[in-house]
Amino acid sequence: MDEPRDAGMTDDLSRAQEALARALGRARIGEDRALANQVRELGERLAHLLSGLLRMTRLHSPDNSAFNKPVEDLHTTLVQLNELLGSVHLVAVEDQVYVNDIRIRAGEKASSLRELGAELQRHNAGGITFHLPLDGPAIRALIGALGSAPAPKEPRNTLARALHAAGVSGLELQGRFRFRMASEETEEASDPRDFVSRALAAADEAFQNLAAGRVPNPLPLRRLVTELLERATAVEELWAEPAEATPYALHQLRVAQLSLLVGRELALPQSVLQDLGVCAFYHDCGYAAGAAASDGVGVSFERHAGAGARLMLRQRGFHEAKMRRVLAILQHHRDANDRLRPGLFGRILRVAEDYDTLSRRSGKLSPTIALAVMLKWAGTRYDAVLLQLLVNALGAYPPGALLRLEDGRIVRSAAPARSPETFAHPLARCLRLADGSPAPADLPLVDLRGGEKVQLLRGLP
Amino acid sequence: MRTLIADYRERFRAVLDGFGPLVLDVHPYELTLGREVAYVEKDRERSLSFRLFRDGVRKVAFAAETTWDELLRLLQILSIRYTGVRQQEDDLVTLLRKAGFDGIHVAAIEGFVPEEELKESPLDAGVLRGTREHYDPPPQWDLPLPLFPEAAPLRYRPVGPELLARLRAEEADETVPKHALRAVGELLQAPAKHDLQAVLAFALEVREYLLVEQRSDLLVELARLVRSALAETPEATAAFLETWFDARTLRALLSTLHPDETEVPPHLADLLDAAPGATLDRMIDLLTEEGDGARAPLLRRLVVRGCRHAPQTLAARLHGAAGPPAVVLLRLLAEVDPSAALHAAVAATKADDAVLQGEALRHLEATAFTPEIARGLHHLVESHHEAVRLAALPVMAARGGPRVFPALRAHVEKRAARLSAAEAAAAGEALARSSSRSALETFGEWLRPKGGGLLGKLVKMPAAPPFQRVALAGLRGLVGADADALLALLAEHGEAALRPEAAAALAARSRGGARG
Repeated sequence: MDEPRDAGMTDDLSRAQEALARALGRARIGEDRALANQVRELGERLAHLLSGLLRMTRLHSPDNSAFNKPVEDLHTTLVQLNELLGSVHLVAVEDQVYVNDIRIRAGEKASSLRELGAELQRHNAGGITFHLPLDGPAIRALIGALGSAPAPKEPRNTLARALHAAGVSGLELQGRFRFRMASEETEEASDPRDFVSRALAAADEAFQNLAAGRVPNPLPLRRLVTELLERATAVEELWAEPAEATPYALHQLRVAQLSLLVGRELALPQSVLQDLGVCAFYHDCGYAAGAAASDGVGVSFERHAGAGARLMLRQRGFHEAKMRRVLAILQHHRDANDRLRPGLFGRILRVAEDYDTLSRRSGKLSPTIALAVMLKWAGTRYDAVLLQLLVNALGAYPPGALLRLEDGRIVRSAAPARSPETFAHPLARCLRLADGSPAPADLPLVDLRGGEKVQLLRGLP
Repeated sequence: MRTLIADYRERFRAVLDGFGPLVLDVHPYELTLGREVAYVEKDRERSLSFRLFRDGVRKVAFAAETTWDELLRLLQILSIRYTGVRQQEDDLVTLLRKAGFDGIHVAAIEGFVPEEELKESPLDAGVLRGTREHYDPPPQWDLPLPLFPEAAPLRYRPVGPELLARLRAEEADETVPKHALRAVGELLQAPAKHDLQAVLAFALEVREYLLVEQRSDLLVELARLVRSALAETPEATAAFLETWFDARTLRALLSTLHPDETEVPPHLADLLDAAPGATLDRMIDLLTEEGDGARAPLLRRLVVRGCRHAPQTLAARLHGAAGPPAVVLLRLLAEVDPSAALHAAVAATKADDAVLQGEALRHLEATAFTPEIARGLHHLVESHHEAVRLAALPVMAARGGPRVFPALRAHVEKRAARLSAAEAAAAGEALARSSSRSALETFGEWLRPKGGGLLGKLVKMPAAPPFQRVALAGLRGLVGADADALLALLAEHGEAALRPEAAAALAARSRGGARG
């Protein structure tokens, strides 16, 4: 009687075994072991050398010749790390030290890492970012300053000023950190402005690193996408345009947000949404291929898709996410009805990209009109269904749309549509009161669900 | 592995069904369930808890309704971390999020956040951040857009679930291999060819993936794609195929063929023909690994086919080979190039390798007798391996006849003291078969007393026992009164152990003579 059940269980086990073998196989082919080892080894060297040099300051002055060799080694290490990673972020948190998110193995030298963390904490610092490799004199200045007594007030700022005065540049001191658990809600983590700021910085750093000839590092972007996917989309600050944002970084972030709106409407699985978001953050990276060219001639519009896809190939090892990026970046300007029909990601990026360029960057069309003119190309330039999904998600008055209300107030749509019922009734930020005066910043958002008539504006009068 | 997986499933099921939710706290060396230690391992290399803790996991909670599918996905994620594979694309947190667990909750360190007990005022930008390299995209990147002269009204239009499902299916797991192939194809078509090597390296990464996914069909497709894109640069194609056709790829492709397949499928034949010598080498490796396995005939056919383009490959491989693989190679060479095989067989007679010498003997036995063959056979007769000598002696005698008698006799006289009974018998028979007349003379020289003097009268049997044994074996095959006389001499004066045998041989001959 039990035979069929046993047979079923055996099949289950076979499938489980096979699935496990494949998961491991996929993981193995996706790693660039040589690069990972190199970064880890250099990171370890950096942390231990810095710690050792700080210990030496208890016995010698930093200009003592005993420092010559370790200072030279530290400089070489910073140069090598900079070539691989760009900015090098050394962070000490609790009893651990990380270099660009890679945990430094303490091994026999656990006390050395603890001491490094303690030395930084004396100055109310939790980390150092080396934007450039420091030369010998700058390293001596850094360890001299770190080894000296901290200032009684604002020790970190005092240290930063002292380094600046000593001519040390390309270095940034970080505040103190603590670990954050995955499920933990913190003020910083929940602040959408903080998120936007980190996302813009990451998009910019990804571009800078590719332009400088480095290997793509998608993990920080994937973490941001994961965070973005956990956030509600109808949050005003997520759709704001921070003054400090570079046009390129803001465009990458916006295309990621718009792509994920479409992806969510499609109910794509979490893993696919993550990949889509990372694709969007990288989609225009092809322009980085010529950014460092000495002749000042950048990559043309026609070439940037192919150039971007090839930049992605610098990352070694097979991962389906990387493959999706290559394909999506190659195809993101291709018409939906092209003979070589683009894949789903390429078609989503095309819709998201053109919408952002038309509605924000062209400066000529309001978000509503941008969507409306795109709709005329549904089925040709754009995948008709995906475009409709974007329309459904953004609503008739997408974030940024300027509207005059019946009572004369001027508002700006603050967030995407909340539901099919509120498709044409967004939440909006009041910019001008009925009498034309600027609205106070602390007014609550206006809910246009009341159904009042609105007039679409191209710009603020 | 199956047992462990079954154990994992059954134990979890038993705990969750019997006791409800399970919450494990992760410590550096222990997993605890409340105050109870559920797992302890102090050895870092072996400790699951240490690795979990190191990866930032602090708690794992299982709901009572956790499904087997979820348990399996968790096992996959933990295995990836446990084996020390470091991925550039994911970390533990992104992997856990991707898994989208309902019944499993993992509390893990996601990163670090600022924790300012002593807030400090913002710094000037110049002090905050030093100068660093900065690059910008070209001005007006992505602009201008094409014209959009008309607009359509915006309306909310629901999209049907079938349509959504169809779009989702475009990125379903099973589509990844085809997308990977498409990515390679499109990159190869893209205008910039200066970074062809990077694209070909990507194609090899895709091959790795297809191997993991066991998609042999797409492996062939991938190679054809690259070949077609590189049609104008055959040397680039050959270099790519040489790397592409590694042992794992070959094995994967061959595993799709039926062992009884008599014809190599055209698509595979085409690729094999385009692949250079190293591929043939790998195929030979597979064949030697296969030994007498089910796929040996198929592999043999493939190698023979491959050798049409590189016949020297086999001979070159044979040069350094030994044992059963060398035998396989020698047999293959005989199929591809009999003359080269013969030279190789003669060379193989000098190898100190019983298996290979045995195979060499097989080849020499079937070939016309020449001085070269005689040299080969002589090497075999002098082999360090008795089995080879036993096999070679009759062949040498039969093929060489009287020409090889002196060599055979010299061999016996040189080795007599060390001859086993079996080899002595074989040597005697070989001498007799090589030349009966010379054999009789030789046996007579060995057995008859020397001269008629005192010594002749005292020493009735001058030959040492090994010579007597060789002579006895030879005399058994010889007829005539001289042979009978020598047998009688052995029966009367030979070594004690041989006398009865010699007598028995004589008796048998008399009976045979009486009957005759």
